[in-house]
Amino acid sequence: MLKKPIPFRNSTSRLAALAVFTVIALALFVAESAIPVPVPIPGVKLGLANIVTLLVLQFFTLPEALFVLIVRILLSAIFAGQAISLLYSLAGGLLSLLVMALLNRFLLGRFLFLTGIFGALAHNVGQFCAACLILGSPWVFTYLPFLMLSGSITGLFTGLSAHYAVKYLRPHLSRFQ
Amino acid sequence: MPTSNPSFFQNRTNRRAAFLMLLLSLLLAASAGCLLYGRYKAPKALYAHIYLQGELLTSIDLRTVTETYTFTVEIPEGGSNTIGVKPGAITVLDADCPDRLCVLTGYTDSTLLPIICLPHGLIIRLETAHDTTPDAISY
Repeated sequence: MLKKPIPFRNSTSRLAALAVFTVIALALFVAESAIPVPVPIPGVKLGLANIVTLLVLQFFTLPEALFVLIVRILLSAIFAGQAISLLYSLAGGLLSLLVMALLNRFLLGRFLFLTGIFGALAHNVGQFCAACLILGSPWVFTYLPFLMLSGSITGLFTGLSAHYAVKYLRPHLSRFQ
Repeated sequence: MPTSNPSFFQNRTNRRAAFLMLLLSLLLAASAGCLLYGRYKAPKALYAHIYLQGELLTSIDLRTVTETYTFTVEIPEGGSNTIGVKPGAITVLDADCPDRLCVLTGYTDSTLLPIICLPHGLIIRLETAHDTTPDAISY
């Protein structure tokens, strides 16, 4: 059975918890931007902020995950100071959230690493669709096989991280009920 | 009598997960196949087409290049990419985009992978023909 979202006592504690998760996502985003990318391929990154999206999907509902995602992307665009990257992040983030929400339901909240992998792949595909539209050229898709391989590795990492974080956090969050 | 250690596949969620893993391995095998094909079978580039935001700026016949030269592409929204050409290969030598991935790509002669500068909307595509526009192929 799919585990129920954590029933918070009131909407204030719920909002506070969501805000904390948004801040964690932003902190991970900033930390990640300090890590140099070892390969010169556009779109390859660790996607640490995706851990938080997975956590919010496990603990909360889809609308709340969408809320956290959009606030995180808007704020991270302000921190990074790139208007164009906002479009890529939104396209990747939204498609990734959609796929992860579907898979999380399909797998009843188990096998979080698989949800993470497919979420990372969906993020790459969404970004490439945005790049294709913005650059007006289908040639960006020739990079997709690289990103499928790198996305599986980074997605496995973020998925497993989320898996262990869920185990650790669920009892702590339950205290706020 | 229920078995104390039921098979992995008796659980529906486990079967779903196994299906997804199979799907993933097929996807990865296809990607690896594409990469290997490109690594060993992609033809050597003869022409470099430089696109800025979807429009063809210029085409260079790499066979006629005898010595290394550079030129600069100015981006209308601000910024520039300095492009280096040497016999048979092309690169982005310098750029003021935030990630500089186009610079890190280095000299290339592969028709498989274009050089892409996402922040500036610049694409350098290598081809064996001189008159293939993306519109003629994809639309």
